[in-house]
Amino acid sequence: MKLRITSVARISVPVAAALMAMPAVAFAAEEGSSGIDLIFPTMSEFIPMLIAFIILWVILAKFGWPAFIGMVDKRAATIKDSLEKAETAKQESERILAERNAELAAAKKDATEIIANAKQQAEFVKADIVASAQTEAETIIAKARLAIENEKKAAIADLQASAADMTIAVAKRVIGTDLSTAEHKTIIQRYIAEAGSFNEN
Amino acid sequence: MKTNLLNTRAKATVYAEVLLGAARVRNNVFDVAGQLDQLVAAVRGSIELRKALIDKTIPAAAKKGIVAEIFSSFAPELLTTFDVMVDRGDLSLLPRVRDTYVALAEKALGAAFVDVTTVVPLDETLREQIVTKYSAQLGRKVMLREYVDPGLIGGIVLSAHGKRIDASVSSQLESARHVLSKTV
Amino acid sequence: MAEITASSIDAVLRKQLDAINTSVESREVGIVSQVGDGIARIDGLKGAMAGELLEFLGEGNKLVYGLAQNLEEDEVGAVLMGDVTAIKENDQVRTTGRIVEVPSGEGFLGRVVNPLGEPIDGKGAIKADGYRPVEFRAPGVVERQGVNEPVQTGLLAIDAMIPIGRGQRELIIGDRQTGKTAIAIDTIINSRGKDLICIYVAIGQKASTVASVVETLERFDAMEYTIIVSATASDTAPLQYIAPMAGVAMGEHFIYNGINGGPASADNPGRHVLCIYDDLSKQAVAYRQMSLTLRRPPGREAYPGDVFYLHSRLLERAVKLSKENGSGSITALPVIETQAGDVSAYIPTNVISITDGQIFLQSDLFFQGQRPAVNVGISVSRVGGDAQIKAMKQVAGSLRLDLAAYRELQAFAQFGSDLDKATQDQLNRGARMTELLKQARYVPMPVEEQVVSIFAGNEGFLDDIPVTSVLRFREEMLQYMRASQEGLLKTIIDEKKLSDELKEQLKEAIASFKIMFAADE
Repeated sequence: MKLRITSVARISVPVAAALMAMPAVAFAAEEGSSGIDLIFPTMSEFIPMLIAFIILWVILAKFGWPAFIGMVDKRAATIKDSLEKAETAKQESERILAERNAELAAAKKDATEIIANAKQQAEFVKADIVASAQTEAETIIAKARLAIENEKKAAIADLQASAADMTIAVAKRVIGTDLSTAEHKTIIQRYIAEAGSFNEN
Repeated sequence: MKTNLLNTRAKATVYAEVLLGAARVRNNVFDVAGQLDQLVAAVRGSIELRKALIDKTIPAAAKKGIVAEIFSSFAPELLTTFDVMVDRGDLSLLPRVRDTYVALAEKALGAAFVDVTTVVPLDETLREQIVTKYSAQLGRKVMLREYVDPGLIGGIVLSAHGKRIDASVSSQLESARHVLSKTV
Repeated sequence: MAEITASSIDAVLRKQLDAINTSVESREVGIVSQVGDGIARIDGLKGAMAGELLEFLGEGNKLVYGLAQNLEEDEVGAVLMGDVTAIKENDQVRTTGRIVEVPSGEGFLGRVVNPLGEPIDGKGAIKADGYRPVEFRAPGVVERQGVNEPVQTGLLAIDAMIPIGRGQRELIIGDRQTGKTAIAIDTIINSRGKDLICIYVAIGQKASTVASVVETLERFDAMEYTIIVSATASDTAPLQYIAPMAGVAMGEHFIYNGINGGPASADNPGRHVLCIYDDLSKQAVAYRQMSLTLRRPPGREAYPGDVFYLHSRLLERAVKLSKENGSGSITALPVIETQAGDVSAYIPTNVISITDGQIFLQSDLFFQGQRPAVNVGISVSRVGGDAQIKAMKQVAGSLRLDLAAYRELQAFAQFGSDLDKATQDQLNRGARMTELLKQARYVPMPVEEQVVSIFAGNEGFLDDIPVTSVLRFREEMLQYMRASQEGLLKTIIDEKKLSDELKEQLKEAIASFKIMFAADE
């Protein structure tokens, strides 16, 4: 709007100048050519100048003004256009900014989530490790107990075997030396009576 | 090795029959059976003896001398048969000859041969008891071959026809030891 | 636990001495006529049965057992088990009227025994629940049913493509140092908590190898459901020969007897047993030695003519019993060692033809770092597919063919450089899938994790991951799944198949893990 006014003002400058020139011509014609007269043109000069001026004005009004105004209008349109564009760009950038902000927030949220997840997982893993360590410790203890038990059993079995060996050795010695011939014969007699048959099988 | 089973069987039977014939002449059938057993065990037990007897570089006379010296107490008919077997390289037939001989001899005598091992020598009553019991069982006259082995500690071991009744104290102690060391 | 007191010994002695008097019966007795190389020839014993257990009375009344093998007209050829040096000519031999039997029972779990069932781990005597014959006729057709439950080895490559079912016989074959035993051990470790009794029969191995196996199994708490039957290289050939039969006989105790101890039936189900024979080539060698010293005629590669029958009757004892017989099962995993990859030798061809499939291990794969070094191209399982869970079938169905196609392309792609996109993609996928199948020792993978791993590969989640990171991706993904998607894994086990919904959830879960994984890099 403001521009439009300016352009109108510009157009009216030469008109105003023309209007102002006319009383000045009249004034100069009255006073003659003394001091101040030097300022005013003489009538003889004035008339052709006026005519030239009018001709120039007419020519300009006919050909110059439209071109000039067209140019100015075009420029005004361009400026208006770019203004509008700037406006939409601004809006767009605001929208994008909002979007970016939202994304950033989401990413932040995601990141916290991932961290929380990782933390939770770490927690799980930790619990797992602790639990497995605990069970391992327990099994080690159980195994140690078992090993001790086994050692004990083996030792007892060993002892038993050697005890048995010794007992039998002693028994052999005792029976071998203590029995008289008569006693041997009694044993034989008894065994014969009790022994099985050749036919069985 | 044994390429022809029938052939070996026939050979073993020949040896056994000849030996039985000779032993019958000398009325020595039962004793020869026992000696044959000992002969088999001796040959089996000594690699050196076996080697010497199958060694082709040792002359037959030398082998004969070895046999005569080692088994001097054996019946001459047994030694002669054995010498022939050694000569002809039929040493591996010995266990089969023994089996055949025992079977033929038992049949000829109408008896069963029973080995008896004890710690102390048997007396008449015990002998009587054994013979009575096993004659009844086997349905034949029983002829005892007696051995004394202090290793039994006590009791008696009877064997016949590849079967054995082990009622010795030593084997009982052995099984007792087995049980003692195994049971907890 | 009785204490040894003078009175207890006295009591036992008395009881024994008293009992003996009435129980002396005649027994058949023979005499050792020749002994050597673990073989005895015995005079007499006309009544001995083939395979009968014989008692040799050696020096100082030492009892040594033998096995009647050759029954001839007037002598018996027997193999000695145990202390061979104690037996001399003229020693007594008695028949027992029994064929060789081994003790078995719950007490044997966690123990190391010799093929006669005697403990050799120094942990004292074992209480036997019963005795089983070493030679036992395998159940017939009507007593069996088809294989329908899986044995999980925990190895991705095997469970996915060469599945083993309970009651199957799957050969593990390969050169030395290709990880044959590792597969067996991994399977034992993975059987924890799966109601599977494992019997590891070590034949002709170094005692130190057996000791390290025991140590490994103990470390992974796998001994408590495992019996180790050990016939090391220093044991006699006959012991090595009966070891696998003794092992399977111990296993048969568990399938023919139900949980409550009585004979197995529909109401009293039998247990499941896994028998690993490591390895049967050594058993065949021991049998060859035995046969040659028994003067049996040699055949191809000097093995006796019946070595095929030896292995077939052993492996035929692997069984899945029918419902009426208690549904127990014995799965056999025989191991055969080849020489320079030669599977056309006598024993490998024999055993390949007997078994229901083979896992073929190759040393070049092993040294390329592909471990387990399974050649999936020529490894097969003829019956195990029926025992796979459906989810696994779904994801692994095409894996085998894809990998085969990949190998073919790979060979082809070495010649040309310009490949079209599709081929390039296939090569990429193949390389990643092959990498995915690698697995370290002693880290068995549960079936649901296997399914997820292969699923991730099939769905292309690995395609943009460098091949070198595939294993790390798999590990971390599974860790993530275990930690935060436990429900999904559980659903796979429960439903046993992948519904479309479950697939979507899986994809989502893997994708959400992948974000984190990418962030890691």
